[in-house]
Amino acid sequence: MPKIEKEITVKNKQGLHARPAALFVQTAAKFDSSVKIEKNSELVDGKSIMGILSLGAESGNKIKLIVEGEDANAAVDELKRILISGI
Amino acid sequence: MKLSDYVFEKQILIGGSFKKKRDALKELVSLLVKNKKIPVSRKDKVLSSLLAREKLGSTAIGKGVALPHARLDFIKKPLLVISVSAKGIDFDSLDGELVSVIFLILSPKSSGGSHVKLMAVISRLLRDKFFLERLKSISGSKDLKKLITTNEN
Repeated sequence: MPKIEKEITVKNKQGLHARPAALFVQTAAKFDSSVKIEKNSELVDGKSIMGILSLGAESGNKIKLIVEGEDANAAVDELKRILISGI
Repeated sequence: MKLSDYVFEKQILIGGSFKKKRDALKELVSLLVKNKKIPVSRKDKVLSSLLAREKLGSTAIGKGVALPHARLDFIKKPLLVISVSAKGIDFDSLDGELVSVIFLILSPKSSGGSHVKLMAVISRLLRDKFFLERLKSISGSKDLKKLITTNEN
């Protein structure tokens, strides 16, 4: 199964706050692939709002998106867009 | 940032009987007014800001927990109210679960960073399923404060 790891700099102005986190989870849920987010070697489930919020990722922070599954490519494309959007 | 610095027994409500999101938020805001953390003249503004935020998308974060919040210019430092209720509240959550634990956060308008940090320390604790189980079965404000203090490090 394809596994994609992608480093992304968070661009959301207020960081990964509740709204982008919820949007991220809603989007991740559309894909069969597993989605994980790593920050400072802490790994959380990218399909859990609680998990994403616990990272406390602020604008400018680097995170790593780890997506594994048949639809990983499409998932990374969509999820990346949320992390670099201005929400 | 230590969560316990924002947790006060008078800002904890255990066993609230509300069933609706709006009623829950109203009662928690009233608690802040009662404790003179926000002036009574601002009560409606606070409630409408919280409800406006819910309209953008539910602040339920899964597993029966919600983090309703608002940023307001008359708030000088973050305020937190915690509610644990036996009856679940319909919070329009993504996972469809009823909410029984609420951490209501009011932050200064300018402090984007501390707002996200406060949510992070709360979520970090909640990620631990044993902590969450104990939180949901807590019977008093004093016990809740103690539970947070002993688990936050």
